Parts: sequence; structure tokens; C-alpha cells
Amino acid sequence: MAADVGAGKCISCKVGRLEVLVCNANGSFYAVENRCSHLGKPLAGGRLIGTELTCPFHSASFDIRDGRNICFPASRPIRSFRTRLKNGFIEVAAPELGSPGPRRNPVQ
Amino acid sequence: MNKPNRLRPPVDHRVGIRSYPDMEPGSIADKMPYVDYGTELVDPRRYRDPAEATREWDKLWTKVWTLAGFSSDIPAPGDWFKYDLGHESFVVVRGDDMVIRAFYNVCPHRGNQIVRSDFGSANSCLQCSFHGWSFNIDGSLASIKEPETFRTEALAQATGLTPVRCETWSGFIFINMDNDAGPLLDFLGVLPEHLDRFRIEKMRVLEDIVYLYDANWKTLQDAFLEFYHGDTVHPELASTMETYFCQYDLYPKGISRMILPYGYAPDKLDDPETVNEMLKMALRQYCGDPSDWPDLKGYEYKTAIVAAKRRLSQTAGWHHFAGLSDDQIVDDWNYAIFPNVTLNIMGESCLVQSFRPDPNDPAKSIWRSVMLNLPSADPAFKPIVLSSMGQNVFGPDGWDGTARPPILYAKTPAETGFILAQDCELIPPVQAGMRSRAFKGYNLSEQEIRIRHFLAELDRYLDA
Repeated sequence: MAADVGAGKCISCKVGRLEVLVCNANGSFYAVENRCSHLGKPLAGGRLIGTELTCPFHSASFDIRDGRNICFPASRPIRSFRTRLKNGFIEVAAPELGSPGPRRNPVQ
Repeated sequence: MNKPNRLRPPVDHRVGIRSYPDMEPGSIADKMPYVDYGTELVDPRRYRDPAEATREWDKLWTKVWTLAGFSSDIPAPGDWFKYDLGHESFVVVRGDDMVIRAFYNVCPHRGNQIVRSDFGSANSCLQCSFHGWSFNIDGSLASIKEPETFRTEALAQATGLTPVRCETWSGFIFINMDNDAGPLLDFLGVLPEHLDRFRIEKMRVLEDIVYLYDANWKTLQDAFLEFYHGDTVHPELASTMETYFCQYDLYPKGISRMILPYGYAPDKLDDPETVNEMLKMALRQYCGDPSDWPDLKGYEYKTAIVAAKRRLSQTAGWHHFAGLSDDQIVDDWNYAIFPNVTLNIMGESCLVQSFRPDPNDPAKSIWRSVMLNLPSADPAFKPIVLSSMGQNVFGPDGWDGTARPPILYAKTPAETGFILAQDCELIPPVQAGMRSRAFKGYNLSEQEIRIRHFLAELDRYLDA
């Protein structure tokens, strides 16, 4: 539910087999994989300031709009996914490996 | 148009200029007694000499309380921010017991700076990205990777993070590298008595800008210790803000204040009777209506601003305004905290500026400007950003202070805000001009006495 993700907050959820973090930055919703590109640790619990999410383990950081890595020790980006609001729910477009196109999973 | 050079009666410097002629003696708005610092020129070498910068590091920066950040930026256990001063870096972290602690941001293993970004949250430990040493958020060593590969003597001498003194006042977090320093509240002198009533700890960050300056930290700060430059550098403020009847007060411990009355047409304007457009805009910013005040003259418009702010304080939830005078809710009560912080307090807002030395070059500094505002329960009010004062620049709609904005690392003066950009453009050639063989040193007016007061306190540290 969009109402569950307040400004500056992230919630973790599963989209298919992917662990995804859905974030609210300045009223817009973004989704990134819940996995730091440094050592694969969960990003959940990390601090979101503006659109920069900092990993709680070694302070690597990413831009949640496109997954771009910003701060060491991240040297690779993380995956980001398109989101949309529908009837108060945030939907995340998560491509499944091997399938012809994006499959939409309503995320609660 | 304004006439900054109109003829004025002579001023006895021992009496000075008062902002409030009817002020109650002994109140905090009263004018402080004169301190005679003489009229000698100020040696310009102290603004550029590397040996002076080294003395400042050894005698001042490592001995004094400096502003590291804000309590509201680390609300939950595990939250931290990074604070850099000179070549030192610190991490300030909220513990599981809600206590705020600060540590040198250095891993005791090989010296890595553990936190690299401005803000973060640790789940339970701060972990070094070099070899994975982990530290609990109380600073103690949690684990070493592959400890069986260390000799017992090496393990025995492994430490946790080195703590640094850290205390908080009114939501401002200060650190002090001197373990023997006295308490923060002693250092702050009259500030708690004067400023607790403004409830600054309830304010939240609206804007946070850092800009690397081509000037010594003191050259830059000196500009913010006086408003003698108001007419010439900030002409856009002339129609709503006093630049002459400003009160300059000196307090112990290098603390000082200037009061800049606001909200009316100052007498130096060609036509202070007319209610100019900037005054009407100021009233509307505070949800007032100029048509409610058809008979008010420009020079008495502060009455309307006060009324609007008092009414707004009811709907906004700023109930402590009941304990503030009319002057305190409207005028700019501008305090300097020694050595390097200025506060522009205008009722519901506070612009916090700090001036830090570049780690290597005394002709450079790091300027930070943080706009704090009281969140408003009244959605009709949009918080004002002082860096662009009078330019109709507001915070985002529905701002409630809960989403902390990122620090903006400004690359150009314009990004610092309209008003502050004027100071940005002003100062670097001042630093350059002070280096001229033709320049013999500041020759100061009494309106600039806070500069002498600051330097006198600095000398107490440097000569110790």
C-alpha cells in the first residue's frame, strides 16, 4: 500500500523471486533490488536521504532512481525497477529471467 | 531608491546604537556595555599565513567545541552522520540507549575512514570496508576478520573506535577534541539563557548547502558578523530590513549578537511612508492580508507583520511564541557562537552557518549553510528560505520536516540562494585584495566591533 511507505522510508518485499526495496523519496515511489552490490547484504534498514540510499553495512550508497552506485565501497550499480501507483497500491515491474517481457506483480 | 549616505547625528561610540530605544534595562534585548578594543589596524597576515593556520589547528580547533550537526538528523538508534574538521573526520551516532556518541572516523587496523557518506544507519555495527573489522555503535570492537591470523600481542593491542567528547544543546551536537575541556554549557555562555525560548530543537532542516570558498574561514565569517555591508551587498533587502539602527552586543566567551530589525520601511528609503511591494510580500508570506491594514505607513508596518505571525503561531502550533516578544518573533536576532558559527534567528526559523578551514590551504574554506524551520501544523504557511530572502522562494508544499534533504554541494554561487550568492561573489576578491602589499589591515567602524571581539577571543586561545 502506498500509504505504508511514508516520505523518506523504504519497505522490503518480494516480487516474484526478487527481494525488492520500495522507497518513497519526496513523494515519488522507486524500487531497487534489496541487495547491495558490494557484498550482497540487504539494503533494508539503510538510510534514505533525498534519493540516496546508504547501505547499513559499509556505507556504500546508491541513487534509488536508477540504481547508480554513488559512494565507495559500491563499485557496481544495483538493479532498479519501474513503479506505478494503482488504486492505492504500488506496483513494481520486475522482469523474470527467460520470459519475453516484464511481468507486473501487484505489491502490497 | 534608498539613501545610505544620509546625514546622521554623531554617535558616541561608548553608547552605540540601540535597536529598541524603549528597551527594558536588564532584559536580554538590552544593549550590552561597550568594550574598548581600540582602533589599531588588524594584521592581514592572520588571514593567509600558513603558520597562523597551524597555530589555529594546535591551539584552537583541537581545543574548542565545534558544531558537528543536528540531533534531528540521527533520530533512530544506529543513525549516524559524518563530520569533517580540517584533516580530521568524525562519525556521530545514536546509540541503542538513544545517547549520541562521537568517534574519530578511523579504523584502528590500517587507518581507513570507516564511513564515507554524509548520513547512514548501522544495523548493529559500523564495519570497515577495508578488512571488515566491526565496531558496535558504542565504539567497542565487535569482531576482527580471521583473528587466528594475528599474533596474540597484536590482538591484545587491538582497540575499538576512539571516542571524542560530544555534547548537545538545543538540538545542536558539538564535539571537542580536547578530553579535558569544560562542559559545553559553560562554553556557550549566555546562549542557553537567550535562545532556549526559541525552541530551536523543534526546528527541522529545510535546506543544507556546502560551498568550497576561495577565502580564509575568518575572511568569510567576518562578513557575517556585521550588517554595515547590508545596503551595498544586499540592496534587495533594503525595503524591509534595517541596516543602520542595528544593535551590536558583545558577550563573554567570544559570543556576540547583532539585532537586525525587520518588517518595516527603514528611514533611509526615499519614501518610508509608502507600504512598498516587498513589505506586502513579507506580510503575505506570513498569511497576512495587506488590505487589513489600509492606514498603516511603511515605517510602522512591523505592527502588521507581528499580528500576522502571532495569529499564524496559533494555527501553526508554535505555542512558545507566547513567551517571545514582538521583536523576537520578527527581527533577525543574529548570534555568533565562537569560533565559527552564526545563527540568524527570525522567530520560526534559524539559518545556521559554519566556516571551516580547508585542511591544507589557509586561503580556502568550507562554508555550510543550513536552514532550520519550525514545522507548521497550518498548511497555508510555506517555510521561508533565508538564503533567498525576499525572492519568493519557499520550502516544498506540505513540508513537515520529517524527510531530511541531502546536502547540496554547490558548484556555483547561484546554487547557494539569491542573497547568499551575493556574499559568495563578494568575498574571494576581498581575500585576494587583502594580500596586496598596499593593504595595511582592516580599519574598522564600531558597526564592525564583533570582528574585534571575535579576534580577541581567538587571541586568548592562540596565546595560551
